[in-house]
Amino acid sequence: MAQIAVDSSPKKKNFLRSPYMLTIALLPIILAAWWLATTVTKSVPAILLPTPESVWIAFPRVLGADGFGDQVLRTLTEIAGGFALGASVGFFLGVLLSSSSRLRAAYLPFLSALEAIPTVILAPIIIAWIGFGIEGKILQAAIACFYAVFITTLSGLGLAEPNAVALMKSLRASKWQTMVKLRIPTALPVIFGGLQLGATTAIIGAIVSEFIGATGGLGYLMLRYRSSFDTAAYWVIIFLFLVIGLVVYLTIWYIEKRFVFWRRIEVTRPDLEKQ
Amino acid sequence: MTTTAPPPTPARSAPTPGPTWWERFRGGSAWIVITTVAVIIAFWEFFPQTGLVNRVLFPTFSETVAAFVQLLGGGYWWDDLAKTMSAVAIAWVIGVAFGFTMGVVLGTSPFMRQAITPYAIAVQALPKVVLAPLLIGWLGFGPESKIALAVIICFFPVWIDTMVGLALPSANEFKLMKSLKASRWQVFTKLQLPSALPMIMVGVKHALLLAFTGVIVAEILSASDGGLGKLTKEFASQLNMGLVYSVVTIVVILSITLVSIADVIERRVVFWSEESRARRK
Amino acid sequence: MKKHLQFAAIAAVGALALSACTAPATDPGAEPGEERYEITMAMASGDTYTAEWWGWLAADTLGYYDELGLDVEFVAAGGSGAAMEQVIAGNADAGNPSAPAFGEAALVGLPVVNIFTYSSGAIFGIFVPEDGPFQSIADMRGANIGISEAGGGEVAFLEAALRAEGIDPITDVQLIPIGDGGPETLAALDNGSVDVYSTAYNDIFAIQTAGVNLIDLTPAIYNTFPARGIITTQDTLDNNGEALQRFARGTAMGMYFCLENIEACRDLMKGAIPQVFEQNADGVSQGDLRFELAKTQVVPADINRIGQHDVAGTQEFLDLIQSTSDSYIAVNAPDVLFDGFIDFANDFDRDRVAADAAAYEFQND
Repeated sequence: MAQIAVDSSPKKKNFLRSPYMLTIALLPIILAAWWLATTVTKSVPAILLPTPESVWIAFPRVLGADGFGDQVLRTLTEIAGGFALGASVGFFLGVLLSSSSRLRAAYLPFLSALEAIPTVILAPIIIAWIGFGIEGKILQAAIACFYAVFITTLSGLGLAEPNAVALMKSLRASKWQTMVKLRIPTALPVIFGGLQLGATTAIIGAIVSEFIGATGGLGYLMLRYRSSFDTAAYWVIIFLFLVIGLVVYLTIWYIEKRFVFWRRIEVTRPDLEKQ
Repeated sequence: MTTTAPPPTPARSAPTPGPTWWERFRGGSAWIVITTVAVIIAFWEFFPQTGLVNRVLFPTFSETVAAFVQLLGGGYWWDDLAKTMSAVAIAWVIGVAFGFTMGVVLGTSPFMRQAITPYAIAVQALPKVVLAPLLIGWLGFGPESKIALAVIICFFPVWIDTMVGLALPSANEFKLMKSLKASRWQVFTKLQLPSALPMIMVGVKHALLLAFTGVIVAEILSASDGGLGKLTKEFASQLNMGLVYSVVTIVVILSITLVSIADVIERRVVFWSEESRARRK
Repeated sequence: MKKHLQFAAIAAVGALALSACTAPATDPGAEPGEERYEITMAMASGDTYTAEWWGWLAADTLGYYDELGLDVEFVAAGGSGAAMEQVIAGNADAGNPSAPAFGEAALVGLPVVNIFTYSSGAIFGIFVPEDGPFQSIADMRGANIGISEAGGGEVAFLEAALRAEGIDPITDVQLIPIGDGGPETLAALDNGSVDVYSTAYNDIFAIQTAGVNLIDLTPAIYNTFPARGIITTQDTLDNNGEALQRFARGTAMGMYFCLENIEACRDLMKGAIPQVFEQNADGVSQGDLRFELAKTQVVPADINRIGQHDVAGTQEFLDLIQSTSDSYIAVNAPDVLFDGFIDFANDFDRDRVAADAAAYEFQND
């Protein structure tokens, strides 16, 4: 099996030959293509994709607008709240269902079906039920993200080696002890994969929730800019979303690196690790 | 033409005195499912009648069933169903093909993989529906734009899982292949691909679900050329909630069906994975 | 040097994708002198038609466009903003966004033109529940006012109406987007989250049939405003004028047909968008209610001048929206109203269309 551990060997790498040079090199290429399409050939209409300059110019205007900080804070609160709620529920359900094969057989299809309902369909019903406040948005983000955590928890908890389980049993460990001392530690690397994915879907869930019946947030702001044909500002917010996605991802990656030091194998996202 | 005789029922050997159907029923999980469904239906039927919630917004189960029958009688909804499902099928096929290609192109080289990853992460958390105006501008008003949106949403897990899967064989296995003078192509087809397939199938399955939700989201939030998503939006704006819940129920049934189909395909394609795993142990 | 090769491949794929992106999405139009013309019309809704767009539907189904040598592709653009967006982008030759979306585009300096006024009258209103705490606009200070969505078309009207009564729409009231008459709207009115609802007239039918009685406080001045037209850009007008001219005539013929036999058009509508005519528990369909409203809004002031613009009304309308934001520029109504096609549009055989209307056979009842 693959040993995809974090590369800890202090091999001096030439930074100029590291992949991240290519990452950086791609940036001007993307910018050039964008500039070419919107400014030189003018074949993409500015109302759909503004020029790079106009987006650059719009940045200070959008970021400096009255109450912009509040909108960002609101969206981040929704993401954090939704993620916390969704991930806890997902984890709890994962633990619950992993403890009984009967429960698993009975409820897994229901929970999977829930995953298949797009939250936008539920949005009007959720709003009708708990109102237009931030609670409804948090709930939508939570619904969007619980499944990823739930399903990875469930599969991660099944990963403990039968021998290790037998050993725990022979040591008269209780079910609870087996869970806390063996199953959860084994599952954590996988669960973190689920948390990564869950964070992503929580971000999407929160933003999309702001498209319908919202009183604030970046998604709301985005709609307002679009309705006044301010496409440059619309794209400024798209770039902010990209930044939020990256920051959230790196945060979880960092936490994982710090705390799951025993991580061994079965990493679901080795693409993110140094090889 | 003569009618063929019904196939003879094979004579069963006398049943061994195993568990009765009742014991099997109690030992299985079916009763949990049935009880759960019954509780949900009972709650759905009686809770709206308590007056605690607005009856217009939360119709009872029987009212919803009546609406469901009305919908099925309408006929037009078949059209919307076909539009949604064909968009899902096309998006899924393209998404899987695209994701797999990307995974192979980038997954066989750790260098490329690492270089592209930051972009992938940033784009992954973006609600793709914000790109709808651009996609409509590019692809027109037909179903193409919503298919494109669903492709962008659903190719992702296939891509990631292909990349990850191709990296799964251990360094020793690669060395062994090399010592046998296997070509790059042979390493890919004989070692990497077989070990990656179970993982890729997980992505393919996930992609099906994402293609489905992607199409519906596009239908609700942007120009869409009809479909079930548009239908729910229309019924919601009419406050015809029985019909809304009917369509949502159809969406749920469809998604369960799709997932089951994907499960079957997965078992067929990667039949060896359990075996090989067992052998390795 | 495989890495470099791969890199080049990626770059090539990227460039290819972009160049595909840069290919013009629509053909600039038929060449002059040719018999047939083509037009893409972006309809401002999730469906190609809503119940009040019978003029277009009738002309299309009865083949009036076809007779004029015109192939019209009606496409659902999603909503007014999206329709306006795609018209400006040149992906549709024309569209029918509501007046506020059109006005907003004009006021930010985009080159949009109305070539044919389809309907007029109050498309947006201000409503209060019968037993609500606010029964006039003048005492709405401190009210929670529901609007359809952030930046919805009604907001400009609402803000102007509040200002006219000395109420600052930014500081004195709270605007809350509560949707366009769906479940979330009903809940907001039902549980008192909002005391006032300002939205399109179309959006209140469902609410009213759900048992919330709304009183209409819309100021009378709104009734002179244009509602909807055939909107295009100066560019398209210059390049595809002939097609647009024929489109205007076909549309006028469709409208005339409907005015002669309105029930025939209701029948056509039921065939085109059956789901909108689904009845609710009380046996009422939204389609019918919207259709009834359209009867008062689509009828032109002068039956011999179908499509005629109301310059004064448009000017008042533009000025009113302009007054709500500093970022808008002043726009002269005649600059965004093009009336060069109105004569041509009305130059059709009315008796023959009337005969068509009389001979219509019902199919969808």
